[in-house]
Amino acid sequence: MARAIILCGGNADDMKTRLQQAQRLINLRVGPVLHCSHRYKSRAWGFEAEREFSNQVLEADTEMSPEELLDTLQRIETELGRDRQAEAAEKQRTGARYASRALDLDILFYDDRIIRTDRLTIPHPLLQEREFALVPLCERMRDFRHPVLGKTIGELLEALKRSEENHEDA
Amino acid sequence: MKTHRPKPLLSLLLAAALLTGCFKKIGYDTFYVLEPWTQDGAQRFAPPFGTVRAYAFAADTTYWTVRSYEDAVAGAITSVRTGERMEPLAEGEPYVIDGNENWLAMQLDGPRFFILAVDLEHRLYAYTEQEMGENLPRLFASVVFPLVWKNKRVKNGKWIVCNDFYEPEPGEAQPSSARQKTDL
Repeated sequence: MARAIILCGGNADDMKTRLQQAQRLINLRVGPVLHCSHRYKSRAWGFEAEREFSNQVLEADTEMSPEELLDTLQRIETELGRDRQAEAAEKQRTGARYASRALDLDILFYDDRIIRTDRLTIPHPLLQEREFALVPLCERMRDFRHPVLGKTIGELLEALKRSEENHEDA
Repeated sequence: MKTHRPKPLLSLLLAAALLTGCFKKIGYDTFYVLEPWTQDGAQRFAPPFGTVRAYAFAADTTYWTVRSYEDAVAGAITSVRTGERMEPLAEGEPYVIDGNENWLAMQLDGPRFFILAVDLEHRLYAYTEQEMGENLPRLFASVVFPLVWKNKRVKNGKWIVCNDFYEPEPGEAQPSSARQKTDL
């Protein structure tokens, strides 16, 4: 049994209901969802979007392998409205790396394992740059040490905030 | 003069009967069967097999509690005084009888137990203090998990039923531990 930490987010209408549906499906198909963070709203990261994003971190125990977990989460995304083709079209139109999406389920951690395959990089490679992921993580995992970076989640968040303040001052 | 003497055999039998009553054995060995139900409004239905767990602990509900849904799933209770954790004496095993498929049973031997039931499908848990009758070979109990909530914790008969993931709808009064949206 492994502990999977999953970031759930999106900027569609009624994200509260969509995130609750995601929780239910993850609980049924992946394993018991033992904890949920608060939902946090934030502006889009890495591109411009009309609607704010809502994000939430789930902790689930699972017997799935990381690849099985990825497949299951991608199926849940599709069932709950994610349209990757529409996203690709929007990215092409705007030239941005990211686009609005109905639901995005990212594996942030899988126990304290380090995984690098063609399909999967765990821990999530951009976690330390994303306040919208670090803040909900800090609710319960502030002292958890990032297996690659060696810093705690709390330290990563503080470092990110400092770098953003320095960027604003410059 | 004739005197009446009680017959020896009758006296012996009477003495044996009296002695048996003085040394009657009291036991609490009980086959405890838990029937879980889910309730949605007025409708009650049986949760699917494998979606409910049950545990029994040698504890009371005054000084022991379930700290979280995670602890409930893991089958652990915590002392409210010391923070000590306790593991279960028994875990519910499937008990199939008369067509039902989701009852759980535990063989328990003691006067009182902390019983914990967990609904894995809806992420709910419930607990109660169960007294065992003397010389009671079998005890049937039921627990109802409601699907409509107005708070994180409700008292349902003898059970405390908990929903750690409850979120009030907009306009409802917020419990002190309700989730709040925060702008980053």
